[in-house]
Amino acid sequence: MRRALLQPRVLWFSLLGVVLIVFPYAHGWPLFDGSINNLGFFTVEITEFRTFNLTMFGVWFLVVMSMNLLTGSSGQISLGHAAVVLVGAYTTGILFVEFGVPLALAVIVAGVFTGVVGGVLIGLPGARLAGPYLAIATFSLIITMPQILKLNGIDSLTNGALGIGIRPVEAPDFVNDVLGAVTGGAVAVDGRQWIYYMTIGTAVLMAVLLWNLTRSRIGRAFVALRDSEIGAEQMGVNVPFYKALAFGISSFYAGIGGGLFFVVQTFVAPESLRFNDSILFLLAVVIGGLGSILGSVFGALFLAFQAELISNLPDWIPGLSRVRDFERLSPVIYGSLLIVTILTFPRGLAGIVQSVRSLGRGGRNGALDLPLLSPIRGALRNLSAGLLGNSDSDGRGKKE
Amino acid sequence: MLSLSDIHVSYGSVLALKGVSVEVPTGGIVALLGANGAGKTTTLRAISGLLHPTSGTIEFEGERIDRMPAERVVRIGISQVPEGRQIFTELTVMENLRLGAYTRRDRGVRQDLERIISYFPVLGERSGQRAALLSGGEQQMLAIGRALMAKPRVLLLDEPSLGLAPILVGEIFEIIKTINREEQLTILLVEQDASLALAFADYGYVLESGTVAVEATAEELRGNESVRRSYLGY
Amino acid sequence: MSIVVVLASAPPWEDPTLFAQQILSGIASGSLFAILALAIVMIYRSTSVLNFGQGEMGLFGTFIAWSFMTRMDFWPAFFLAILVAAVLGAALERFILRPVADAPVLNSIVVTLGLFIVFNGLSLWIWGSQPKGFGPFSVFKGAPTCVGDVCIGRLSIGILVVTLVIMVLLYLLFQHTRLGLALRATAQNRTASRLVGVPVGNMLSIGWGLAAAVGAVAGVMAAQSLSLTTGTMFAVLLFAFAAAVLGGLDSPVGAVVGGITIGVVKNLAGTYVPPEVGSVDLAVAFLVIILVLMVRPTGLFGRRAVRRV
Repeated sequence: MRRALLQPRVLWFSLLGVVLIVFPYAHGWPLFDGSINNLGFFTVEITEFRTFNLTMFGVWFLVVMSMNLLTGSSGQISLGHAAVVLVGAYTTGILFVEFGVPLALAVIVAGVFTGVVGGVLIGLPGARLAGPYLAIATFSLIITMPQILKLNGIDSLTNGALGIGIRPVEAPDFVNDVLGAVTGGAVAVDGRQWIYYMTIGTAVLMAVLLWNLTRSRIGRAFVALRDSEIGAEQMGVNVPFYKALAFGISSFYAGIGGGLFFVVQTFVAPESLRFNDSILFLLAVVIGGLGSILGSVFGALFLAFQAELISNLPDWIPGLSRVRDFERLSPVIYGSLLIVTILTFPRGLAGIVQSVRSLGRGGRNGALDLPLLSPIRGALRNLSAGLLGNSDSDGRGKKE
Repeated sequence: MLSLSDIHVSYGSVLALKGVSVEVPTGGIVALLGANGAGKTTTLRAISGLLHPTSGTIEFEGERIDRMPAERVVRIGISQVPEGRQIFTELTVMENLRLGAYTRRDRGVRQDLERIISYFPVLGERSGQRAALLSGGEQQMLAIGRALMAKPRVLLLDEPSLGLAPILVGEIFEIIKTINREEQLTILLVEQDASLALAFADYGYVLESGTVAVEATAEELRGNESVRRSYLGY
Repeated sequence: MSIVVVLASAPPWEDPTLFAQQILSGIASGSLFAILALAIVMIYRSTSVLNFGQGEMGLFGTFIAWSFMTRMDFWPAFFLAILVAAVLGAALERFILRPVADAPVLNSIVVTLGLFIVFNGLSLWIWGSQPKGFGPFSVFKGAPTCVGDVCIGRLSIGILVVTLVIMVLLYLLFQHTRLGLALRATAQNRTASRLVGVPVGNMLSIGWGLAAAVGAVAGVMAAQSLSLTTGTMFAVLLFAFAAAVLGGLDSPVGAVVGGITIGVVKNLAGTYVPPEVGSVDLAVAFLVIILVLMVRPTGLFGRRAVRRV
């Protein structure tokens, strides 16, 4: 037990955890004090906005995991995930505003509701469809979603085109009471920080659950489906059931993500998320890497920071500042990125990390073992081994 | 006329042919024999340009063809009747035959069409029907007719007997033999039924796991003890 | 929450003129969807790729036509833009689609989604978000033709005629030319096509070029009836997909029948669904897609999908 605690993986995770926990307070500190820090290639200004940024990372992490579970693990494609996330956001909003359900409970109920809706209404009928047809069906879902949400018959719930808004959430009193009592009044959380912790906490918890799920019988059935439906059938996997189940679980994640999206943004309207967001989700999954949790982390980082990355590009690449209306080119950049990634790295960023990791392994055995690099390499190895459990199970699967 | 020397072919990391050399003389009928997976079909695919050997050369009338894409190989006079026939099932019989002459622009096409229908009258009777509606034997005839429409000098035949009733097989082989004799058509035949192939061919090669195990005249092969035991079954 | 079932307009038996009028204009707008659906079906048949970028490629071609028209008349600009679109389509196949030809379906769908946002984004970047005045031009301009009280605009007639012309041309090409035969052979069996000497790669490029040309025609016709903005083809694509699904993704005849059906249904829904419910035109397409797929997972005219192992 003691040895397990001292494992590098555990240490890294603890360190990461500590950083994540203190982060919302970091903007008062040197280097993080709101001044502009030039990190060589990247200028960062750490302000309160960063907390919001990272909170959205938590939301997107859930959404990308949801896409990744569906596409990366079970091999189904959804272009309608923005719509599924919207269902989660709207359900949360309606439960909270119309029925006075506590927000935390509303998010959970919204997740379950979205999961059931996604599994039964999309997953079950979708299980019979071949890839292109499923893509069309989910495409039509996201295109139609705003019109459905604006239908007059349900506008007493959805508030039509105006959408649903709430006041920003405050941290519960008891939390600050307890914190104050324990730290002698030194630490308190405000509403934004509270939402940050809740979102990141939920995302991490759901990631752990997903990690366990992919290692379970269900997860193996999903992978069997993805690799060959006919093969899965022969192995005795009930194909339609598991396809629908994958859609259901994926929708559950998207629903929780949507609920938190609503809480973080404090607002949702019929066009808060559109087809272009669906494509961005897909891009995030493809860039991050299909079928791995580390890939979802990369994908979510991309979603959280993509707008900023694009606006920073002209600072990095000299010629770009002369390009007319550069900001308007962002879809072109995303589209090209999507195409280039699929053509060159079909396994996404996580695939590259895996290659680096195996390079590290090779280096340890081979002659090229620079002592200076080995701690870095080891750290990278452990970090990726921790986050990227998938590859271990892959290895095991092959030996069986 | 057609000569393969020391060709190697691999599928990914699996080596399917490990140095195969085959000579096909003008006007001859050469048979490639061997068990499933011995490399017979791979050899044909390497000649027709569907695959390219990793090393070794394939020459046709003195010209290197081992780097040529399939659509060029058929232009210079080598036609393949692929395994499993691979006819265009959704097109009509006539369209299949016309596609066979896709590479040709000469005036002889119409004449050849009549000649092929005279060999396989059933193709003429059913020319307007979708090829999917033909029986197995008729589909095989269509596949051969389609290959002949390119007016090849070498015909590569891959398992023409597969899945056909023996009587039909005999009929088809008779016609091929006739064409070989009347038109000096050179034939390289892949066949699992060794006794059938050796009754028909002049010369034979026995492939075993990607190499030539035995080669001899058909007569000698029929007399060869181990070939008899392994492939002829008596 | 109470929805009173009252039709927005007088029911057909009380106002047959309105009904006939709506059917007629439904057929006209439906043939617009049919053209784009034809392009989608052509590509799906020949390369098994579902081209999400079809509408936006057509949009891009339409903007090109608009640019040409600052220097020349409508017809030369129209044909020049179609030519550019065809070349572009062929180039896309060669350099972007071919590398994913043997990859899983997901990869090719992701690539065409990439095309979707690239061409939409490029149009926005080059031509801006302001709507462009776009026709109707030339023969498509003029007073409507009326039979009794039922009228049809010149543009609607034009779209119908253009659809018919495209269908006839495609039919002649595919059924009565050597190239068409080779294209059909390639769509069916690539190995066998190579063995008879058909240059399969060129055929795939030509197929994409043709489809892109047809898509550009759809764009030019759509822009004349809906005005030209970067959002013009968005809804058209949804309706074209609905049409293609209704007809079966691999059936050109199905695409046309499906397109016209969708156009009529959409128009009737727009006429008779009461305003209290809200606008439902997109939802109609959605419903059609879902219902058809639930009953026949490969569309009405489609063949059974071949499952990949």
